[in-house]
Amino acid sequence: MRNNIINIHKNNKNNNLINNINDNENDNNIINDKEFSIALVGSPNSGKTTIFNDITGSKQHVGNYPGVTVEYKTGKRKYNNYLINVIDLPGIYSLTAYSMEEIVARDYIINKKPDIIVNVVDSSNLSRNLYLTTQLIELDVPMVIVFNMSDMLEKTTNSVNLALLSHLFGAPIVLTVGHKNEGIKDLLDAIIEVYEKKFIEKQVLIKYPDEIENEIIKIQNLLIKNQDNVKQFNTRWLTIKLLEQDKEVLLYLRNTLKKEDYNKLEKQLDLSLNHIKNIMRDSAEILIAQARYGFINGALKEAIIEKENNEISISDKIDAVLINKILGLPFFIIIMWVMFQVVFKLGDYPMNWLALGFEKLSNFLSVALPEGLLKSLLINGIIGGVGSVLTFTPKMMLLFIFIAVFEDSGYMARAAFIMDRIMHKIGLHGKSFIPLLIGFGCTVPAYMSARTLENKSDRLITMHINTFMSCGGRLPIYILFAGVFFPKSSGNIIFSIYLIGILMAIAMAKLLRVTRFKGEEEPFVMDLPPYRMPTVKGVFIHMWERTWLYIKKAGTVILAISVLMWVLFTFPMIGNNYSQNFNNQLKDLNNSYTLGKISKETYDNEVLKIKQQMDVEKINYSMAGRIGHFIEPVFKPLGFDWRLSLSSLAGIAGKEIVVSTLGTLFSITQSDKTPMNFKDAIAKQYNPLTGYNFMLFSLLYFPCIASLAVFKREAGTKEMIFQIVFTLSLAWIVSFIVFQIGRLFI
Amino acid sequence: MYKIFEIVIVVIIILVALVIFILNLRQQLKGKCSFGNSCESCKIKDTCTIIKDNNKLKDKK
Repeated sequence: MRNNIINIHKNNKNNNLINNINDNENDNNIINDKEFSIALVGSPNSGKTTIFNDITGSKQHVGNYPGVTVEYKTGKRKYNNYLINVIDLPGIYSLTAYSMEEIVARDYIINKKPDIIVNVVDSSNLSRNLYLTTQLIELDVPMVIVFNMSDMLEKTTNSVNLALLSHLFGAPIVLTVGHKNEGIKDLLDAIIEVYEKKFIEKQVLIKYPDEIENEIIKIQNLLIKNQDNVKQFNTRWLTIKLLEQDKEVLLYLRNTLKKEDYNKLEKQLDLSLNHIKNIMRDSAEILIAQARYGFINGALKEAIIEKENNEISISDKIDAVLINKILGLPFFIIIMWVMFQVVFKLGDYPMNWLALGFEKLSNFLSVALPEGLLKSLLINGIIGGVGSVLTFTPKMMLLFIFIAVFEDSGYMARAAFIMDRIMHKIGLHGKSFIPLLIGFGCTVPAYMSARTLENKSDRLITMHINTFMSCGGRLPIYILFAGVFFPKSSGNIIFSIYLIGILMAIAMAKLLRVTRFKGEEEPFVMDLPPYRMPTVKGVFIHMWERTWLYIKKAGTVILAISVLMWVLFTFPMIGNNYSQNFNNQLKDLNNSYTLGKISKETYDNEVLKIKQQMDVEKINYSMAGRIGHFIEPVFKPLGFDWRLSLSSLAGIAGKEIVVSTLGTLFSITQSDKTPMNFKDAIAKQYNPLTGYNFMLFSLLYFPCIASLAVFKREAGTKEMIFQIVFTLSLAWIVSFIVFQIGRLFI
Repeated sequence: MYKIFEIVIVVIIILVALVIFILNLRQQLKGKCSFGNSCESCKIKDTCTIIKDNNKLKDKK
């Protein structure tokens, strides 16, 4: 055994650092690598995904709120002539069948049979995390236990006898600090040892009270008689699961065993459960859980010497304020408010520099290219459309930095915890907050993650209200209109839009619960990981992942749609179909100026007026102009002209398209203007009431066509149609009320 | 000469934009990743399929 009694404080972490993911990548001598698979299993927030990334080098987002890993990820690692296939299973607290994550993880371990289970344990909360370990022990699979975030052990313990703990749990235990990439080499060595059966340990049996052990024997004997039918399972594990009344196991046995055998088993199970209940005065399930915790506490007391006067942890002290019943929510709102202030005040500078860059580019092309279609396409279509979206990138980056800091520090989990209480009050499952949280990024994965809600009513309500969580696509609209009409308080204005979205979601959830989706919510335990200092590298990677998606989208889809919008704004060309003979008017003006009848200033003003009139007629004659004017009456009561109506329609393809469409439109109608003056054009055309109302309308109607496609797939056509009608009606009604009341004051 | 060049370039740009738009729309209608749009959705697909099937069974019950 490699690990003897160690003093945590003397552990030399630097020795464990690894730099090369494919250790034998360049080693051509390796011909026959031994290949095997390992599965990472652990509680949410145990750092399992970080360990997966450390082993495989795979890029994956490491979130800090429960449920971030609802998939299993795979990766490979070459190490000392071994090719290790790594599977990252969903984060779970136990192997009971309460949640889908647990079922998924359990099914994978039993049916796919990975060669080794790597159980990642959060060292800051050993007793709770080792509960899953005790269940894995009962599955009797080869295992390596990882005490991740082992630096936390230093703060709470004087020493840990790892050798003794390994012996007690029947598996090697390795210390790692995932976010610092420490201990990974030790872990890989331990995995190889277990694979090569160099680590030989006795099978550990968790001893239950005698009454339970007696009943286990009776039921296990019946299962042994049917060994052929259940040969992939450890019969003791199956028996314990039966005593825990695991529905999945019962269902499996009902389908697998002969009817008479199953009936015998069911009868014995009933007898055993009643017997235990009568004798022990508690259910078998609770007694089994108590015995497991007893085993863990005993093992930890044996092997760990805790520091005397263990004070309340810093996490607890911070939590006393941040998730306090009274102060928690105000703090959450204040933190969000500060975030928006910083993002919009600080982000103004780089945003203006970028806008200036696009203006220079536009000016350059304006001089370099002769008048014609290509010049118009490049300046009005591409720079006007994509440029207007890209100028917001710096603010998006700042916002993404904040989100990454919240996630990596552990505050996002606290936000989920605070919101969990509210979720329950509005009759929603606490778990609903996770899809809602994802909805602030993109609604498409948010709808998909609502699958983790097992109750159909919870799932559908969560999906319907997710629309009101402001997705990233809507942010450019807010930044544009808040910046134009409320330059001094743009942060407050955008904050209010987000807040209205949340409040609207709460109200609509309540409404849907009492009307369309009646039913009761199910309980859910929200995990609170300890606070961690986010690393600069981690925050930067997470920020860049999100920013890159935005830039990629601007460079492809938004670019393509901007070009197509330009086509719609340009064709059919007006030719000689102007309402007046503007060319003659221009000639007359020119003659008057040449003869000195009018001043230069009058001449310039008159020419500008005529050109603007020509631009307006040109665009009205175009396909987009006609569509815009056709739908304008629907939006007129909301204070929107045909331009805003058309951009809302274009926004169905994606909300960023709203801004790019307005960019192209104003660029064409103000032919001497450049993207820098796009904001001035908006300011000239509308007032603050229309601006705010447009943001509100964009917030409330469904996000985009992709989200609708996913909605249909997840909930069916009927629900998708309801979603369209519901959100459009709500957006129209709210905007109508706001505009009609607002115009009385403005 | 420039006019012909201009028309050719503009037509090519429009065609490329049209292709990107159609490909994107197809992907979007399938609810799949599309040029940076909803990339995260694929990450949760496998497990979600299992969950979805399970939910379907429960809904039926």
